[in-house]
Amino acid sequence: MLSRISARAYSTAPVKLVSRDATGNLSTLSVVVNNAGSKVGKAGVPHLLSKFGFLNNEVKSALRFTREAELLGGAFSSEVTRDAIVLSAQFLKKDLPYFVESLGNAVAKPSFRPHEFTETVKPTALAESAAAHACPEFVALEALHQQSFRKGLGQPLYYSANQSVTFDDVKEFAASAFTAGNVSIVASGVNEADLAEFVAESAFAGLPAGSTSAPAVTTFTGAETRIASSGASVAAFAIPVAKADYAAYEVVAAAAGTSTLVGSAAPLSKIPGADSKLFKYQDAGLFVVSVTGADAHAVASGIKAAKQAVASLSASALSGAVKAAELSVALQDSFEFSHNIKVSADSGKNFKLGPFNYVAVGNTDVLPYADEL
Amino acid sequence: MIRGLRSRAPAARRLVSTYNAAPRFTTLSNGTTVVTEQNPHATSAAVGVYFGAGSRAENPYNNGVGALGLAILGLGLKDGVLLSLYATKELNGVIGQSTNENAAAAAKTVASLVSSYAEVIEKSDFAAAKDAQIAKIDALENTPSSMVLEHLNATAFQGHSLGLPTLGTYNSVSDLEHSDATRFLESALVAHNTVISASGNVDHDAIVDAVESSLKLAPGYKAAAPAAPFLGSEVRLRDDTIPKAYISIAAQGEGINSPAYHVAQVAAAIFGSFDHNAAIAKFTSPKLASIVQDYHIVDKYTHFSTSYSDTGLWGFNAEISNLYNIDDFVHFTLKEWNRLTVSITDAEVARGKNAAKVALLGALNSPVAVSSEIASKVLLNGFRASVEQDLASIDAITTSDVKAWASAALWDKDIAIAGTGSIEGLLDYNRARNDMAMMRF
Repeated sequence: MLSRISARAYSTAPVKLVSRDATGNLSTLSVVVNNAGSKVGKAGVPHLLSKFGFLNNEVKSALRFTREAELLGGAFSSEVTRDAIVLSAQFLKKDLPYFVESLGNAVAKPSFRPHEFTETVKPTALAESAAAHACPEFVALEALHQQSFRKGLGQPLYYSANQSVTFDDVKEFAASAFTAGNVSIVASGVNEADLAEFVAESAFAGLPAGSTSAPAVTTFTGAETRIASSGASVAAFAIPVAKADYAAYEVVAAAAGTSTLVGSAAPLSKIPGADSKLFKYQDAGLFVVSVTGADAHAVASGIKAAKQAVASLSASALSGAVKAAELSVALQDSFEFSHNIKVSADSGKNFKLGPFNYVAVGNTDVLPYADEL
Repeated sequence: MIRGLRSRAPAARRLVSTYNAAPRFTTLSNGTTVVTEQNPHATSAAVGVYFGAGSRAENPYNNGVGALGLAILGLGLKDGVLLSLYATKELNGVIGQSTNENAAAAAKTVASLVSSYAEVIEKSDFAAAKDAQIAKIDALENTPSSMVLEHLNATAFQGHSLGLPTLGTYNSVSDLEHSDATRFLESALVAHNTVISASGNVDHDAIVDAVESSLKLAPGYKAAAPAAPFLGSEVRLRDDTIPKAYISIAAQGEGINSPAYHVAQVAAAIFGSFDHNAAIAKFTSPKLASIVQDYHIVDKYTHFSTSYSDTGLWGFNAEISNLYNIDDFVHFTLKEWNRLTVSITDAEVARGKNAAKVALLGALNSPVAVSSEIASKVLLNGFRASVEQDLASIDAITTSDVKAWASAALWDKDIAIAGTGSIEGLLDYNRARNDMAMMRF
């Protein structure tokens, strides 16, 4: 609770600023470029753009920034989420001015070089994508997002070689997304007045005005996808969730059994490899129930049992899970990505398992069809 | 230090006055220590009961019993408190996570749980717990990068209980019975060998009150552990069905009680980590990184300085897909280690010091991490230096300290080697051992 009271937001700063001071010698700084995540624009472009994060800009070469930041002990990363591109850095408190300036240059003064696109950006993006797709859970999640949202949140998170993205696509996307209205800075362990001053002096002040909006969310259910692959099998179903229902589905996840509350006596914890989780985004969420395992037969019976368990959650089980859901929300909450979910006594009251989307990845000869669940 | 950056005097002044939350200590009437560190920003709280006996206090026949006993105690969700276990080689514990408001209740829950361990274990589904532990062992054995580290430790401290795997082996865990777990906890869970440590937005006095009334432990002290000798040796688990080579090489490192503890951390940070697929791989600072990225002789490496109470391991863990160049990677890395003794520069040490500081602070990023860190320092070292003290001792390290440490700990010293995957190209032990020194100086 205290964290919300002490977090300050400055309205006069060039970009939205949310910060809090903390004891200790460490600061973290995240530059969130909203509406630049994989839900926006041409598929694959946001991922490629995120890889340009700490490459050459008009002020500094990538070599110079990397060497300087590492000399200061800083750790930094540039990632794409479905909602945003997030550039974050972790460093000693005294180095705040350096990192504000550098992240400002990265966002406001990029100098996209064609050789970087072919030599660095594309190969590293493809490597990250390949590593993610080697994991059947990730493949299943991607399919569920695609079925549930089609466009927007349903677009693939990562770039893949079969998408024809040109260098100009990335530059154009950056020009439209890196605007003052889209960028917000979330900082922890910093003096608020110092941060505001440094941001005002930095390249953030030169960001073009304007903002872009997120694509409208349309949800779909009833789809089924089967993807044959070697390795572990995953069977999962998902329900798109409106933002207002986050609390309700946190209660459902807690009542059914979720990996944030490992070992609870919920029904899914009795099924090997079963999990339920609410993926929360800015405009909508996705509630996913999954079963993973090396033995496809066990996964097949597991997903049937898991569907039964979720469909037959009793009113008393749901009201009994409120306290557990509160804990689950507290454990998932972070300053950088706070969803401000308020679980109340009757949050989960009206839950009834309706139509869903279904995906089977792995040994599809054995995994059941949606209508067999 | 950085060209073109103006100094900001007012900001610098203000930053000096910031401080880390000081932990508060209380000793209970039975001799158990309670430590809390309040963090007003924490979104949840963690309260743990830790005791100073892990797999190092076991033997090859009951190996894994500590982790198993704790897995039985630290399981489930009781009254809004999520229980989990903390199992390492020298420390075991039960952690209760809760919302901040519920922290005192969490303290009560974990304290009464460990006070009635015999009953809890008697009533538990022992066979299911064993299956779960064997599943964890399988998962570890199927993750080559972590498996290599466990085997590195096993070969470095072979013949000593410190070499035993934390979770035990398939054979040792299969044979365990209720009474093994109870007997182990009986000798380990004693008042002076236990620390209760809490972190989050918690109130010290409320935690102390909750624990004082519900913690019942037999009196007793920690059993003395014989020193663990490091043995230069190797273990190869060649498996050509795995497309990459996973290797780890380490020399004997520093214990938590060693005056050179932070020097070893800084030395490891000088080489840091490297990921061939990072966008900045070409630019990253360590000289070793610029050598290896040029020829793609390694996919990923990390340097570590692992510390137990009186000894440690200092080395690297690497993942290599270029199977014909494993020897090059080992050679270049060990030659870089030589430079720690003979030609490491002030700039590299300065970078290592800052990286070590950020890593030290960054690791304390959750209530569970903070509470375990405090407990392990108190139990293994007898006290926990404040974060400022740690930072000050890192600041005090000079280039000649690093050179002195490296010449005593690394130069021409024996190494332990562990490898799995396609390691046909990992050369003979003596080829690597010979790289620990050079003929010229």
